[in-house]
Amino acid sequence: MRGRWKLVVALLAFALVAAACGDDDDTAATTAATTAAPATTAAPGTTAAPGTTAAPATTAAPAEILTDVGVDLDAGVIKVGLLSDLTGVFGALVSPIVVGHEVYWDDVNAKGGVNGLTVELVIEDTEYLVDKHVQLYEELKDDVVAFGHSTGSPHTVAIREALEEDGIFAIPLTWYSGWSDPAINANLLPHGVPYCIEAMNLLDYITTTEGGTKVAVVSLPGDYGQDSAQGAKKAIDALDLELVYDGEGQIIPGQDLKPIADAIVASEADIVFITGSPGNVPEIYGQAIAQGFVARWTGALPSWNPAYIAPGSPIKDAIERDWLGDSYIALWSSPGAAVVRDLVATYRPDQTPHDFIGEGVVEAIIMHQALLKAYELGDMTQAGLVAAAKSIANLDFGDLAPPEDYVSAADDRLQRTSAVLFKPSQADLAAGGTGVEIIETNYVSPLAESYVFEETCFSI
Amino acid sequence: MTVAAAERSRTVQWIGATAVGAAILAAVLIAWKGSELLLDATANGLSLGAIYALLALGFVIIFKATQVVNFAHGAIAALGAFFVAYFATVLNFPGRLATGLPAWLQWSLSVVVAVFVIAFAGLVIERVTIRPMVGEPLFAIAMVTIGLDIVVRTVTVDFIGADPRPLGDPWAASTRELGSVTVADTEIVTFFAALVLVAAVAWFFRSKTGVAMRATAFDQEAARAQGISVGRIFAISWMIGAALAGIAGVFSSLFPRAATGVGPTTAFFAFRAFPAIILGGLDSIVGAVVGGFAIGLAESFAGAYFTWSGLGSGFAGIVPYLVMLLVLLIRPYGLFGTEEIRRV
Repeated sequence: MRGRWKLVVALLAFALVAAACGDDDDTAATTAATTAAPATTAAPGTTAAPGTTAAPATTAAPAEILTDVGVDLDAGVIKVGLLSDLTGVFGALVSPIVVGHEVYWDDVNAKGGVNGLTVELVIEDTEYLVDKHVQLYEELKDDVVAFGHSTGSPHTVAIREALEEDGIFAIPLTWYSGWSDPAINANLLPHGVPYCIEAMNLLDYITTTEGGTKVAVVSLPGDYGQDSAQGAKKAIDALDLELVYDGEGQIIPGQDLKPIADAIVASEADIVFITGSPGNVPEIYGQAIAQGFVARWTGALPSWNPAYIAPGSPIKDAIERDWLGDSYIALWSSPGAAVVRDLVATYRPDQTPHDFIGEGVVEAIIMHQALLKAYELGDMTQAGLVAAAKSIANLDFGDLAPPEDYVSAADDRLQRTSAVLFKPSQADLAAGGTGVEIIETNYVSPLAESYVFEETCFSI
Repeated sequence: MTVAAAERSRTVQWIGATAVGAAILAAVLIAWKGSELLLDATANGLSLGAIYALLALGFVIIFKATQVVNFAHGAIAALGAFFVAYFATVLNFPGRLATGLPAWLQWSLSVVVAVFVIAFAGLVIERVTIRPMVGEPLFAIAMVTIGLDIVVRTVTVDFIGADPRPLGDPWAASTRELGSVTVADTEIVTFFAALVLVAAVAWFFRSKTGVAMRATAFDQEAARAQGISVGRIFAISWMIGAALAGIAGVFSSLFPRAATGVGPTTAFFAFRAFPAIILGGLDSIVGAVVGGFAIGLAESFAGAYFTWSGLGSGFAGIVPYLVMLLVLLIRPYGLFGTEEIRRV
């Protein structure tokens, strides 16, 4: 019987290893590292500037560079961590974002790296679980110089204080309006229009161009869903609309969501503002249209997934008719995303086009700029990178995303621009695009323009 | 009165009491919010209950024959749904060999092929991971199935990829009016397919192999003494259990319940069927079916009627557990479970 046990254990171990090896070859294993006192090393020589149009230029080399964790000047390596949801509810969206990071750094490294230093990504799958996110942060913090992204609002909230205590910065892969609040964003470098402001842009645009007065609001509970829902409610108040169903925080993943769909149908809303995940939005939408319900549907960008209009999707025709969304970055087919298309064509020619690859590129550009700045200042320690990153006053992404400012006061730096507004398009998908028709670029609604940011829309 | 007659009498009393209770409840609900909502909640509850019943049936068949609590049931369900997506939309098999057949039949044939594949996967799982554990503590075997769940789920998610995979069913988002309510065609198909499968399982248990399976479930040693191959029965029960799980996975991945197909979270749907399994009785085939529909209806009715904001939409999710708890307080072994008597 002992032999059988060994067989079972061996088989399970083999299967686990085989499964883990699956398609995730690029997922690097976490490597243990010790936190040592900062080392001072002679700086390597500077190299040619990265060739992508969006990449920042090479900076001048100081005489000495201070390093501690994640930067090894002797080996010529910089390690950047990614806390990514690869297999959880947002896995479908985050996986292409990771591809964006990979192609960007492939390009930078191929052209000489960051002043001669090669950037290595250490990617970990958080499964969109807060506890696992925190655990992986603790594992990676002694191995990487900073985090190229941290997926999820509650997840980033969970490590926010640790980031400050440990003196590490992260780019939040979440658009919670709280990141615009200096009181809680000390070590975070957000970009893009926050959920709350995004909701204002969407509802202002829809009601102005299409009409409609009755709005149903439904969202996931927590910082993501409720920040977005609060923005929608602010817009409803400001635009004198009628809230006919308040489903803020009512989407409970894993439960039968038909009651929410029933409530939406019963409300006879003209506009449904929904902020959920690609796992639950189609269920609610499907249950509603199954009852013959027709309305304009919109919501925060992570609620949208191009898979909704993919060939074979039962809802592709209906959602093409009903959905109108926005994006924090230029989408794949936009002229502004040319740099993304070029990078993918060069380094991942077999990659299926995806709108969210550009998000990874934008995050990588922020990280690249911070690394260059830290190098220029001669301090590539984790804390030095925080200081360098927070001194970036005007970060221009070209047409890929609206510019960001990490120095000004909260209301001044608040991003109010939706990079694009779009409608789903099967014709674009058939033509090799990502299935969107761009209807506006760099859109700022009058409501968002006049909004004065004093505090986060939804308190944690 | 014989014991069997007394049991029959008690069952009739239960059915009668349930029917009267349901009639009173229906009258109250109609008076409260009208008949349309009642019909809508009933239609949703029946299709949801049909999926729960199939999941519970597969789970109970494995448990009854082998005493194994299979925590990998949801992962197997998702794998079965993936196989259907793969055969129907990627390979178009066997549809491409019979292009003259109607779309629904081509798709059904893909389902049949996928069900055979997932049944074979069940056989492999049993032979490789469960058979070597025969004679070991049941707790240890349950732990093995938890490991299996992780393995099968991870492999399935890798197969599926980042985006959900549509199953390519011919009904897509079509609906029809049934009286005053609109019902998706897939929900009607789900309900009737579940009835057919339940009837098929009932018929199977009257066959020679089915009787052998029942005998094995009752007393393995006695069954072995009668010449029944217990190992073969174990294998058959895992094959049937996996096949039923796979079919349930398919129906849980159709419009409108999962409008974009089988995805990384499909495996977790099966956990919603656990109250149905416990409610019906872990070792009762009839209980699995009754429990499945009861829990489906309870969840649907709670969602439709308990809508005041103080409870929130999440309340419907705990109703199955409340119902289960209530029943277990009265009947600790479930509605149809075998009462275990221990001599102390």
